[in-house]
Amino acid sequence: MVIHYALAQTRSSLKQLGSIITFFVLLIIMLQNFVHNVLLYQGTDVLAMIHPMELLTLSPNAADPEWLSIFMQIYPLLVTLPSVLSFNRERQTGESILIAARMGNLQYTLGRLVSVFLTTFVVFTVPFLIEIPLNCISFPLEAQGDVLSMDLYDPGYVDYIHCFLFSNIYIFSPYVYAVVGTLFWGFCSAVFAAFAAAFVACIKFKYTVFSMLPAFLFLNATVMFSPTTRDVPSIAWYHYLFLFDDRLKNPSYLWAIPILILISILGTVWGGTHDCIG
Amino acid sequence: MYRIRYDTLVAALIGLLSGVLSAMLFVRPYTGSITLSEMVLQLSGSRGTYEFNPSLSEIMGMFTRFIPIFLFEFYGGTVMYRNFCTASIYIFTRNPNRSRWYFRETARVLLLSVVFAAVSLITAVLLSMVQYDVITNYPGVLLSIYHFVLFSIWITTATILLNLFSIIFGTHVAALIVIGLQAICIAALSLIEIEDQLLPAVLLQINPIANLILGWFHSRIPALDEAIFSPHKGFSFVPALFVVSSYCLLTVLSGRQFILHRDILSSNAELDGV
Repeated sequence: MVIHYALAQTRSSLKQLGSIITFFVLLIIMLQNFVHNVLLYQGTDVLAMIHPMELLTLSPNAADPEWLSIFMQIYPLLVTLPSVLSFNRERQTGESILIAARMGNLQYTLGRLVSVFLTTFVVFTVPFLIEIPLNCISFPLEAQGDVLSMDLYDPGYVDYIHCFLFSNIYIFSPYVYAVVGTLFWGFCSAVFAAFAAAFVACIKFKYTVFSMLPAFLFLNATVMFSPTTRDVPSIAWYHYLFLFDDRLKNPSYLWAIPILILISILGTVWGGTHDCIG
Repeated sequence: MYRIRYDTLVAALIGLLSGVLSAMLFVRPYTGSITLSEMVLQLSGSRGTYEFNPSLSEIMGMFTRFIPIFLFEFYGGTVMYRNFCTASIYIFTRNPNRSRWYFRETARVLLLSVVFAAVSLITAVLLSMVQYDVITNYPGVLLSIYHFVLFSIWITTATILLNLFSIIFGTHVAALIVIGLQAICIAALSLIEIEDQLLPAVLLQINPIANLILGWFHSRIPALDEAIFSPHKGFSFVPALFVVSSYCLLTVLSGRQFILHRDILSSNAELDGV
């Protein structure tokens, strides 16, 4: 019942304005990066060419810094736009009472959580998955260079590679790394959206802008409180979510993701077992 | 007896939070002591004794300086708009002069912004005084006034804009537009690297966020100019005040036209669209 409702709701959420706006914003950012790279590297010798996967939008090293900074600034707001707002809308219109009365409030809120997760995952993953074959078609696959122009056997290059999250997958294949990294990006985005949705399940916000706050504050807090010196592991979200990021990381900080999932489930269960008419 | 309104109290509380965060995260003396001028420069974007330099990490640092301001804008963005969500018929049938109502609401937003900016700055200074040895100097006092005035006007502008966009699109899309516009302005600060060219120089001059970075300013007051020691040209207090005030005036006046011709909401914008 829950899964059936979640899938139906995901199909509906994907057609709503919030999902469409977010998808096209991400698509524009991706296409801008792609066109920027095509114009920048046209006619470049294959020996001097950067690896096609390092030219992805989610790879901050080769991206246009102005666009990248705009993307990084609006991401904490954008991540909640596709689905959390429709959850809030359902609660404000009373549609939630209608559905909850038929299937039970707990089933409804849990189904909504799954739907928020799936909608955000699809919206945040698809534009960047499209970019992978686009780059493979447009740039030479023989290219092995990187933005640092380091020798492949340089010990510094080895250290640089080991700073990546999932560096073992990168060593196995940069293409698999790009796909896994993009799916991880979508998964984390979905977790942040689900975290915000759990708040909406617990607290009835009068203005939808406040339902964006939990994810917005959490993500920006990681940037605000991140150490500025490079020899201390960063906690800023973008160092963990972007591909080919060579900033020193502490993988144990990724425990924040299961903790957020747990908080989201507990918050949703709490919200689902309380009176939905309030 | 004058009673402090609930929204003034909330603005002051967000200001308090902003001041605490600013003192904790952005005031960084090299030694145990810091002059007031250096402290205010750091609050408006400078890092240490160096002026704001738009690398990606510093642009993100600049954005984080705006997070408490965005929090306030989220809250202040409902001050005018809330009248359109509930009881708009009640309000506008009893207000024959809608223009006067609009200017009264604008004054309310201005007051809240002033309270927020003042509490934020005072808290940051006082907290820094507890943490470090803050040396009060004449340029520091002047820079504090500049910082307070410019930020108050810009926060008022952004908050009114958020209210107006909320009436059209609802608060969520309005927040995305207003924060998005400010994010673009912050990203466009990188034009300072090519400020010698005409177009980037003009774009920088009309960028409201660039006019808030005191570390880029020049002054006719020798002590102040020496305290800032900016390598850039083209920014000073009076033109910056003119640019920021122009945006504010433009927003307020176009908002008036919009409000006058806006029919009373038949449905709640929060429920439409998304």
